[in-house]
Amino acid sequence: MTHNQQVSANITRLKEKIEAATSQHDLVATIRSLEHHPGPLDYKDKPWQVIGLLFMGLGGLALYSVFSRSLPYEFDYFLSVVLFYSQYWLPVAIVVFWQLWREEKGKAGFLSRYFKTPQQRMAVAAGIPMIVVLMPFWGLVYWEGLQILTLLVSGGGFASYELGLPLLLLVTGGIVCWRLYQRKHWRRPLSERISLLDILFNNGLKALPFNGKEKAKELGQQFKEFIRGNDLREIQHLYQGHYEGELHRFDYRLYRFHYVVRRSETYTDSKGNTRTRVVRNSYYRHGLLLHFPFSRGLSLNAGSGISFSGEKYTTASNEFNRVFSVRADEEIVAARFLSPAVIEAMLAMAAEYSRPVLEINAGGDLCFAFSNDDILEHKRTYNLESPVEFASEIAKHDELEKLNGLLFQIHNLMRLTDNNFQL
Amino acid sequence: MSDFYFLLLPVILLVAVVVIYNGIIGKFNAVDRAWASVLTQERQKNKIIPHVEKLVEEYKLHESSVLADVTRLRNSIDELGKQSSAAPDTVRLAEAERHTASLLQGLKVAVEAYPELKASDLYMKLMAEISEQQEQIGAALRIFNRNVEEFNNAIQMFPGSLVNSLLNHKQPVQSFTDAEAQDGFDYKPNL
Repeated sequence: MTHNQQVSANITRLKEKIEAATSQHDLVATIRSLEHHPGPLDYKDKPWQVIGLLFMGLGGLALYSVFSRSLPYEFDYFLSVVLFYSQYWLPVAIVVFWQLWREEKGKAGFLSRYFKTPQQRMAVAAGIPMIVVLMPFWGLVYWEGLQILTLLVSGGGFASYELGLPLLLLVTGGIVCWRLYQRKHWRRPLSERISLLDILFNNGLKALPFNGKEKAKELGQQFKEFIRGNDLREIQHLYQGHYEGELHRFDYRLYRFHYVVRRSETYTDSKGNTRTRVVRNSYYRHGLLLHFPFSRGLSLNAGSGISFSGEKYTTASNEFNRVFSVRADEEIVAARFLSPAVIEAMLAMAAEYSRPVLEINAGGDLCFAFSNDDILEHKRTYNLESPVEFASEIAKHDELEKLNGLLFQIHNLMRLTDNNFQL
Repeated sequence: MSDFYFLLLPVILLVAVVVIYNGIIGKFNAVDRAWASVLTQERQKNKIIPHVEKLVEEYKLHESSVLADVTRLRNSIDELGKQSSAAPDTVRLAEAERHTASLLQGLKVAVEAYPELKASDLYMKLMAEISEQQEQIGAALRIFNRNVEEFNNAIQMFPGSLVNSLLNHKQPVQSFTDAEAQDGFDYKPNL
């Protein structure tokens, strides 16, 4: 096993231990195990750095040569030869490096099914593209492909194999350098994962298994809040928790919803032609789902992008009417729910949350959604790069103040809408 | 072209006057509705009276002042219902609030003499309901005062003041203040 393969295996074991943790104590123990870890835990990436920089350097030179044409003749000739023959060496190099990278990560891909040793797999990875590049059609495919690449990058603006090649070299070199940077700093995302698990343990939250798109569809049948956008809709996070209030106790689910708005955009290309292209914008919403037995068939909407059906209702508060649009199955439902104290509570929530929507469906289930992205926010000073300090930080009890504040507000709505004599 | 602007100007002015006129009417009606909401919340106290009477019956609190307080509260709520003018009757509301405070005080005194009462389910629910009703009335009054502020601004600020003096002829509405609470302060703002 090479050095980098050992590092990959050690990191994988560490990740498995973290994912298997069932308590804060397990997380702290895993972090502390790093203090005296026999290693190795750091990649040796010098050869990869050279490869990445070579690709980027060659791409930069090729680009310079296209635009300035002021390179010394001999050098320019040599560069032209290298670039011309790139149709042979570049595909082979990319596939070989790709396979080498996967071997290091211990993920040899489908080749491992047929070839047992890394040497065999590397030989096959080099041999297949070698055969392909020697086919008579390959030259046409390669140079046409480069033209298509520039066409895609320029949004249909122009097609040029002269620019396509430097672009391919720069992109390939850029990807290599970016991946090297990511794996050099592998401790950071893992620290964030530990922090998240810690915050879930501390606040009694449990990650629920779900299928993002199916869950969004299922919730869309219950709440209009999830019928946003006209493209992708998916639930990205789903946690379950329990709240013990002074008067009421309830189970709740905390979610993160991602939706995409697709639209056509008209633009003018470099030749002055009017063209259209499809633009997709991603949006994120967060919220709580819980059973709310004190009202049903009601929506309070201070956001945009969705409209609710039902009878329109306005309250006695001018301020509230400016912020919220109220719809209910029956007017009396809204009149009962929106007592003066509830109006004030909702105004306070509208001041705290961005584009809030409170929806209670016909089944008495409540969804309170908003656009703020900080409900699970937890600031950390340290990470796995300083395991001793990080372990002490993780060992502390950390409350999610924003989530607790929201739960308190929901409990307050329950208190104000229940019947005190039927408790 | 200049003729067009000459004709357009009076149309814009007329639309602006109509919008301001209707705005003042709308804000006045919102004050009226907010006051009705205050009264509705105050009348909700009728809900607690049968429970207090049940408490008196169950724990034999006949010698305490609770029953007298209940009668006074019921009368003042009835008086609120008889309000004849559309203008907010803050005096009667303050009276009802005083009787509520007195009833609460009476219940607290009774609890001292009857410790088992304090632990009773009915007493706790009653206190929770009274406290919530007071919270609702407080919120209704704050909403009323905010609407009053918006209405007064609409008729006192230019150009609303001009439209009001020519067309609406509305008088500023006084916001609700608790005279009893105000007596507790040496400071009085020179409003």
